[in-house]
Amino acid sequence: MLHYISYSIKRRKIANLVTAGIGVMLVLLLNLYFGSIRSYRDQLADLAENVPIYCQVSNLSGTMVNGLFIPERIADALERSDQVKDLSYMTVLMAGEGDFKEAEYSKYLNLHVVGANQAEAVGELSDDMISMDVERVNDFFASDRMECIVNENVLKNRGWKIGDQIILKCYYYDPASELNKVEIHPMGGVVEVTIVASMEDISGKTNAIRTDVVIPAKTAQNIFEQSGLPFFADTVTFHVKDPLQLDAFKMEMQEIGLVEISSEAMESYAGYALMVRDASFIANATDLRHAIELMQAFFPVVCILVLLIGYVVSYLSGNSRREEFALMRLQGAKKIKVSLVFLAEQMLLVLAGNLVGDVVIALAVPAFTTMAVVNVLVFVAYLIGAAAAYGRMSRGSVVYLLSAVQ
Amino acid sequence: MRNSLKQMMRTPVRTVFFLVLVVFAALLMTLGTCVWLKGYKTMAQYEDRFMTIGTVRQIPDSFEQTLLWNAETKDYDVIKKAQYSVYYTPEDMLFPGAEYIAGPEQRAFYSSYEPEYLMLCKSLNPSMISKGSLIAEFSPMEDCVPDESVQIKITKVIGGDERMEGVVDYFCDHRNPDPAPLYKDKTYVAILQHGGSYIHGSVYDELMKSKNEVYIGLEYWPDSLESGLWMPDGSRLEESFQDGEQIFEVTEGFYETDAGRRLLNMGQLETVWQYSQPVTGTNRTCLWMPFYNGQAYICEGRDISEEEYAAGSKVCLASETFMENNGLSLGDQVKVQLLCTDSRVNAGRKFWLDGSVSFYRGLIDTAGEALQVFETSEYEVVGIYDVTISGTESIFDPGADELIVPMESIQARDGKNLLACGPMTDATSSFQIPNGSIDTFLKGWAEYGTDKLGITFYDMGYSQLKAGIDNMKTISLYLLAAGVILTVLLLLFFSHLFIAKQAQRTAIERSLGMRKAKCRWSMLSGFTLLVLAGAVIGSLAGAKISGDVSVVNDGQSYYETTYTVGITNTRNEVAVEEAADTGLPAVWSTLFIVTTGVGIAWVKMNGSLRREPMQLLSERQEEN
Amino acid sequence: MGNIIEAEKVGYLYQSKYQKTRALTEVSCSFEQSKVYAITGKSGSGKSTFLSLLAGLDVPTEGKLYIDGRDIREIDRDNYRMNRASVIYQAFHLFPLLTVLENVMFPMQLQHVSKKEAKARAGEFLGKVGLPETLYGKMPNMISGGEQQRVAIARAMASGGQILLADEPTGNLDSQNEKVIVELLCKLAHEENYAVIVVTHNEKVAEAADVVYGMLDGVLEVVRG
Repeated sequence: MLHYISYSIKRRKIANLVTAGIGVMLVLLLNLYFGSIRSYRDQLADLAENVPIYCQVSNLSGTMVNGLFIPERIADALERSDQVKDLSYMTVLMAGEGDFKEAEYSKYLNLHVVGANQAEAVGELSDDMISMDVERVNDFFASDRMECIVNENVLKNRGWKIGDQIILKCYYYDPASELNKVEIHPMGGVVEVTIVASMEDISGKTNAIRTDVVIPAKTAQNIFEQSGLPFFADTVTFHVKDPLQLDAFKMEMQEIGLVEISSEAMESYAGYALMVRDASFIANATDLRHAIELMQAFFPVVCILVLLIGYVVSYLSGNSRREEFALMRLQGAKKIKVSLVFLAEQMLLVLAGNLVGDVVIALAVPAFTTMAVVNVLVFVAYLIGAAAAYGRMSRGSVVYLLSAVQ
Repeated sequence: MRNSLKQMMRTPVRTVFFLVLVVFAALLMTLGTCVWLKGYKTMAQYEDRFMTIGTVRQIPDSFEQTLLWNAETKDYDVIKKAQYSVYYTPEDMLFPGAEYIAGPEQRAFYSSYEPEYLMLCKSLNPSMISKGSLIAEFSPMEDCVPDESVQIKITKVIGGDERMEGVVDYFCDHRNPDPAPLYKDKTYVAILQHGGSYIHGSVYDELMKSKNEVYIGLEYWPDSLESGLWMPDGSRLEESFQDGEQIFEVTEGFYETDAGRRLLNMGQLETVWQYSQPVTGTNRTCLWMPFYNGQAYICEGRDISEEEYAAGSKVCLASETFMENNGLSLGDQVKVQLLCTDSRVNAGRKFWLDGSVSFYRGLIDTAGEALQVFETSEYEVVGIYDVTISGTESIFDPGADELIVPMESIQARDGKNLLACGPMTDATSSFQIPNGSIDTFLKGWAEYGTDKLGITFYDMGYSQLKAGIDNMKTISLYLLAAGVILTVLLLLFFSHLFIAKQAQRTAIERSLGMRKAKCRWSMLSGFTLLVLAGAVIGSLAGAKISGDVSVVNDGQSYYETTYTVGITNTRNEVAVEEAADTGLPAVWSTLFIVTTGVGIAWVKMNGSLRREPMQLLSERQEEN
Repeated sequence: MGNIIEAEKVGYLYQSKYQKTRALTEVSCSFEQSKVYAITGKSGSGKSTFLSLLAGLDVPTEGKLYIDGRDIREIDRDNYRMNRASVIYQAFHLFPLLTVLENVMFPMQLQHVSKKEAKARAGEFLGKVGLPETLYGKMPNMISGGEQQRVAIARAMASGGQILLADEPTGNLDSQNEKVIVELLCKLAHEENYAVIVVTHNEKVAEAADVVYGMLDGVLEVVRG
């Protein structure tokens, strides 16, 4: 009987082409449908990757992001958080060279010391403005060594050299300061730091604060700790690690104790509010997720439709072969055998259709799991349709089938 | 027709299956089109959110070094000043093939003087004595040479905060290497400015020894009396007045002299900064960088429309703080009285968001007369914007109380009362080009542009996302095409089975002498009816399903907006167009299916009709 | 010679959803090899129904029908059609997708005869029915009705079953072809030992038969024994 399949496939060209063609298109349609959803998802991931969400710790009224008193626990919690990346924070101290008398502070207190965890944390500073290679710069900022980088102008004016040890008497900005009247107090004792590099002068740049000496943030934290003083960061900025997990990120920020800015809040230097610049991400991601959900919402309908089309086409196509079915039965072929032969023929066509569809899809939007799932779906739809048609024929008598043909 | 129907009714199962097939084809087509349309619209909306903006700055030809005396260091400061042989204009950026959506433009801003309004500086510090700038008579506390901070007593305020009368403060003729001595029994008059240096010198050191706080105040510097007006080409209208003399002894009849009159005239406008707000003209809101980078966003009302921009309508966007401080609301008119123009910097560099103002000096013309308002008008507030602190890109900061108006709405755009002018800078000059066209632009620019203009592009990451966006578009088109082809194949399949089944009937009808046209009608009528019924049912069902699904989907928000600064700008217009989104595809699908179906049947039918009926009859078993 | 088919009070009821229609009533008769039987009667008299029962396409609702002495209900009727009985119809019912030769080869291939042998034997059968070799490769719709019916007879012979059931085999043929087919059927019975049972209302066909039954409203009676 198998020979019959080959004759039939050869000789029913148009019908076979249309049947297989519909199979091809069903495979293409479903694959493209999935592909479309996938392309939106990819875009969402791309968006998250390429449009980073920038965050700044601010005061409660949202009017200041620099010159704040940001508690150590917030800076530490942010550093530990796995929802945060590119954390950049710095603190500012005043210092004078040598162990001068406190009464003479106005004469000596003229060095702006910045403790930072990376070059970018210092206003307009960048790695290439420091006289060390990038690796050493990174190592410096990550360390808690008693080392410093000094502004080249300060180096020149004071006659310091790289490798020198300098003694600094540090003053901290009092977090209890009133607005517009910042007080500073001595931290007690002196610290000795080694100059390891020089940096370009950044004063005069738009977002720069005057910076004479830069020390690693951890070193600054240690200086505070040794003096028995609470550490405060001046500026803290970072990026959301995975914008796709934005809600989880925000939940964590709430747990850390960061609050939302409020325009009614009193002006202050206390930094425990958070500003997340995600408006554009949210708008864009909302569009994409809207599109994804839209596509997904239609998914059951499209799937059912594709299955039904496969079923009906297969059924009608099977049904159109009643005469052949009856003749075979008349020749004494068993129902099951005839059904299987016809089914096999039709499935062969579907498989060929699937294969063509797969090749096209593999060239356009390759995704093999989807392809496999789609193939199975379309195949099963066809199979059920054909099985129903032949099942129905099997139940009917040969005489009836023949007379119906006539 | 009746025959046709009868024929179909005799094989109800097959007819129903045929009908179902057409219904599915129509359903598929309608759903597909709806999904595609919605997806396409969402994508277009998504893509529209991206904007590609270029900012332009002129690169100096050279730097001129000038030496300025610094009384604190007792040395000359080296001041570098950029030199430009000519200022390029936005017109210099028009080159063949340049495709601008908006601009290029160089935005000037105008200070509008309206004492009725409460400006940010006053609202933040209502009772603070404004001491930054004064025109006042004073006497030194001791005979002295003001080559370091010396104490003076302000005796009479000619222009500025009158509460400063009687105040003792510090003064230094900071930029004068050879200042004349001041005598305590004489009265002097000068423009007193907080020039930027802290109090310094022996008097100060002595004073601070007794205190344990860092209070480093600013000292006053004197200022010159020439007019602050500029020519658009970057030259001053008046280079100097009376050889730059700045401190005058008040003698009998001094105020009748040129210098005296100038001081009095300047005095009239000394507090004008407190009642001034910047007005910036642009051709498109997004060209104004705070809007582009999301620092400013419309929180109430709407944006200025393209038509309003083009027509120069008297409409504006005003800051929320300004509106609140002055009890104004959307739709109100804002009075604008333009006093002077600045084409050098953006308003944010003069009217700071923290309420401080770095206003202009020399608000007199070359004749020494006080500057006059040169344009008065009223603008309707169509949108209110809010501003957040920027942190990183503060060079683009908006100005306090800044009004955004269509550039065309300002009559005197040619630099009336120009108090500062300069070349194009990133904060004042920008343009918009189509997304994804940066490379093309730069290619053209390399050929026709000048290397004296530097361009920085901002595209919100579009370049990195472009491949993905293109991919989304392509797949979505493929999807539509696949849907259409599938529909056509289904119709082909349908008509193949249908016509094949009916071929014998046609043959019999013809052999009985029926004319071809009638045969065609006899067959097509039934077919068309079936296709039409299927198409209508399928399309309606498709429209209904797609409408229902969309309702579930629309207006959903996916992200928490806690901490979010700016506005998420999720548009809601989509929902309004819903009816059109599902109705039209349904109509089109029906039309497409009926015409394609009937078309295919017609072609097949003609094939049958061209052959002899007997031939057809003998071939009736043929299925392929 | 023994009876190969025997009918004992065979009855048949068509059952539709709403009513029962009696097609055959107590039909009793027998058929032997090497004879041509004709069953005549008007349309709707039940003769085709009887033929379908004889072909094993259905079973009687009443009475017994024995094939080679076994109740038709107990035998594998598919097998019976494959190896013992073949049917030819007025409408020829050739496989539309197979050539003349392939149509004749089909029953043999169904019986797992090798393709080569089937081809050779199909040629023989086609020769016996007098079909020129030039037509072997043609599709059924390309040849005349008489030729198609001859192919159908060759196909019936190919199954090797020796029972040939024919339902109005000449109904679609002109007198020339009718004559050829009738002669062919007689030849099969008398020379090749077939039991040929022809359902017809054509008198000429009936005349050529050895035994003629008449069927009226489902009741069979001997017209000529």
